[in-house]
Amino acid sequence: MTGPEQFASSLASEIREKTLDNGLKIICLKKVGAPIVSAQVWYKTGSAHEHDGIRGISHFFEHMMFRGSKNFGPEEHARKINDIGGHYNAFTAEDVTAYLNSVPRDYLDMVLTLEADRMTNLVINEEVLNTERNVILEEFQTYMNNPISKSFLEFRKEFFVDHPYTYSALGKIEDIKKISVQDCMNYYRTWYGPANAVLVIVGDFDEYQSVFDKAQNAFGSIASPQDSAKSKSGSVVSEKPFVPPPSTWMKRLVDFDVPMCIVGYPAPSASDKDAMPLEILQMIMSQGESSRLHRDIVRNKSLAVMAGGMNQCLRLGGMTLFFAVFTPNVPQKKVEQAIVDHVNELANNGISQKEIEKVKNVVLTNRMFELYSAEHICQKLGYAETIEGDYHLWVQRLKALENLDIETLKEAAKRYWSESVRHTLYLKPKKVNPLLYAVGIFRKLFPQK
Amino acid sequence: MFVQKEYKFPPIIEETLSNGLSIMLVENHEQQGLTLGLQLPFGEFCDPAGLEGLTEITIATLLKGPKKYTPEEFSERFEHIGAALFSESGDEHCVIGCKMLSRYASDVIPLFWEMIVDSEFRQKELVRLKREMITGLQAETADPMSIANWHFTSLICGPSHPAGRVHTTKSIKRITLQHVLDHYKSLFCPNGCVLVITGDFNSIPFLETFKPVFSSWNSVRSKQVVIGEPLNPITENKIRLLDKPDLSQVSFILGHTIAGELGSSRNELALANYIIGGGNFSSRLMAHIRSKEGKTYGISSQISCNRNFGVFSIATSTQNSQVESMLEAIMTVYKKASVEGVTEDELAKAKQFAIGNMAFQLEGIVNIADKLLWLRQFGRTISYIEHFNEMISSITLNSVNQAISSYLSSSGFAVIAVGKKAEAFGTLSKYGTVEVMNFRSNPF
Repeated sequence: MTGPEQFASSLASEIREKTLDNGLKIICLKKVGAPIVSAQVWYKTGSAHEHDGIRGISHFFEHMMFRGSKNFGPEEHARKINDIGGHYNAFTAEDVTAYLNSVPRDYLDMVLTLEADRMTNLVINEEVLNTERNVILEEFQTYMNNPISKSFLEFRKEFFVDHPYTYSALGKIEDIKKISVQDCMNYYRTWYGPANAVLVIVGDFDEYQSVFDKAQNAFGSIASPQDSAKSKSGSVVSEKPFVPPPSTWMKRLVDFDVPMCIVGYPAPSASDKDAMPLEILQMIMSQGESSRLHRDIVRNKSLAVMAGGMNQCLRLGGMTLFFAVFTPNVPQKKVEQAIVDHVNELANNGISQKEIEKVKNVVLTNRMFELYSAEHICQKLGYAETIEGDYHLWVQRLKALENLDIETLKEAAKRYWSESVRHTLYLKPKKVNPLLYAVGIFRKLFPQK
Repeated sequence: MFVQKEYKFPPIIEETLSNGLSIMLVENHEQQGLTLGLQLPFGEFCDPAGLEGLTEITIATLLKGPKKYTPEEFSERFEHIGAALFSESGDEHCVIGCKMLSRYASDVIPLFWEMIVDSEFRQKELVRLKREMITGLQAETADPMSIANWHFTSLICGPSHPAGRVHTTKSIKRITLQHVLDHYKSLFCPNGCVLVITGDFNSIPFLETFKPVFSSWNSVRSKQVVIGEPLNPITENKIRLLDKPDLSQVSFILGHTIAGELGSSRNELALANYIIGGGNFSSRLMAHIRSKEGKTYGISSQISCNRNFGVFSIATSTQNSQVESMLEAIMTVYKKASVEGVTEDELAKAKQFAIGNMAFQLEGIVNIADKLLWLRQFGRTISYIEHFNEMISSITLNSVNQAISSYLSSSGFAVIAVGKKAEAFGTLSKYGTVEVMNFRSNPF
């Protein structure tokens, strides 16, 4: 094996899929190594599928999925997995809600039975709902007590104006306080059918066919509810692409000591051809000590203490963010301008062949190390299938990486990283040490050679 | 009944070089990756009083590379081929390592070793790293649980114990290049170090190729390695409230000291902890306080151990109005376990978890390397893993309840609460004298 393309080809040939009659899609990859297997159910519903009055219900519902079904009591799903040394988790995002399980290899049947039971037989009553509501309100408060998280939620509202992504999975506290058993049952019947789910299984199993048989036994008899997502497709979630609003600049006074500047640009949907070029550009800008932001803003100019970035491509659109953490004696405008200069430089003058080679190697190494973990592979396949629209993209992106050229990258940067759609968030400490300002003035008067 | 086969560790090629460096090679051809971890037999307990953070910053400065290259050239050489450096500073051990595609081993390993043996400690890098560490500490004040963690070990262990002396902005500011150079020269030596390499290679030719490289490190340790001594039990509550007026919740960590990793009841205590609060939804704390009463998003207990002493702690958060009932609920669960012990059924499930979970701890080359280093840290061999099921299965209810009675029946707790003083102080005062500090204050 020499490059991403060969690696991707060999991996692609190992992945198998099957769709049951009820619409449940199963994606499978056999992975030898540790005697364990991961099984994840990804439902194609999240906060983007909510409306005013039930903002936060997807996340609320994720909690309810652990509170018992017809054949298993409250939290029994979790305890049964604990009892065999496995682990479980779940998360809610804009487009998906995913349930993750990893168990010793002989317990795949058990996990599938547990997941199938809560896909069709969930039990929701007033008492359990109210207890879990309190838990969620606690979680909400924990999030809001972090000034960075709180400010970012406000930033996101300005970024995704009038869009299904305006609210995060946390939702609105006033809605969470009112969500009823009926709301939950309506949500369940609409979104939690097999035709709206993907089952991903990766691990140390004997035969692909035996895994498909087990899935058929567990899920095969579940019918999609009549009022399921399929019948409502297009009417519940706005499918219009994300149209970025004009540039904004937001300042928040926060109760901690470290100023921070976040610069954001719109990103395309995860399935767009520009998604990967933007990911590569973001890495060149901000990943590692040899990245442009670290080299220049942190090391050469000493404007920031740390700098980084992230790219978040969702089903309908996304955002690319760059951030810098600096000391109070550095003017925020200087930091912001330094980030913007680098973005513009990249869009105007492109990148070097050496930078492309580096990113290819980084992506390949990251992918290689992901492959040691059944759970990681499951997550990547689940994401590609439900958010990008096709699990094959997980490997095809590696092939595409091989042929990526400088011009494609430059064009992508020009298309998305424009001044007219730049959004800035400045987190300014409420209190700062006046000595730091004195140091700043001193440095201005007597600049270091 | 859940039955898990004993785990058979893959073959290990082991050799100790004449410089005292112990090498362990484990082939794994599952993928084409390679990871290398060098464990140093000392940690932050060796930081002199007043210079807390010295070990961490010495390693961070070392990672900027050898004399032959500028830091920029050095990072470029690693990152260009997708390799990544990592490090971890523990109390009694540190690890410096890197991961890479195995085909680049001959480029990366000599470079990594040159960094270990012949690093250039530059003033400019130190200044930058100090600034980074201080900013990092300041940034942690955004998260109440991070503030609580920072203060907890300091409160429980006290400033006379090395575990009680944590990094502060003051201690980091005091560190000079000379401190870093002296620390490196007196401690960073091959004797007692363990180098674990796992991944896609053939051990014999690999060892032949790299043995001369690994043998090139020849310094001798001149400074005594500090190991934490056992701590006296807490006999009365020590309570500290970090006042942060904007908070709508109070975050807590409370706990006490217990036996260390090498204590005779370590596995019994691990099982007891799983039942009390370590087992997520299978634990008593989660069942009573979250599932039944909905008082918190999460509550858990944990045991963290060094060789000769350990700490049992419970961490959670709740709204200001529920502080009193939360503390009462925690104490009820703890006391019930102390007085009545755990049940046969609970113990059976805790054992099943411990045995079944081992497979996850050995998934992939990074986990295998970590586990080997952990074994060596406490002087254990792979038979500990290979006979783990047998060892856990043989633990009796009586021995677990005996361990609970000896170590989890404390009459005193160290309590850190981060929240709004006006709302939390009254309740906390019912449990003892409350020391109030601003949330920005250094722990000692």
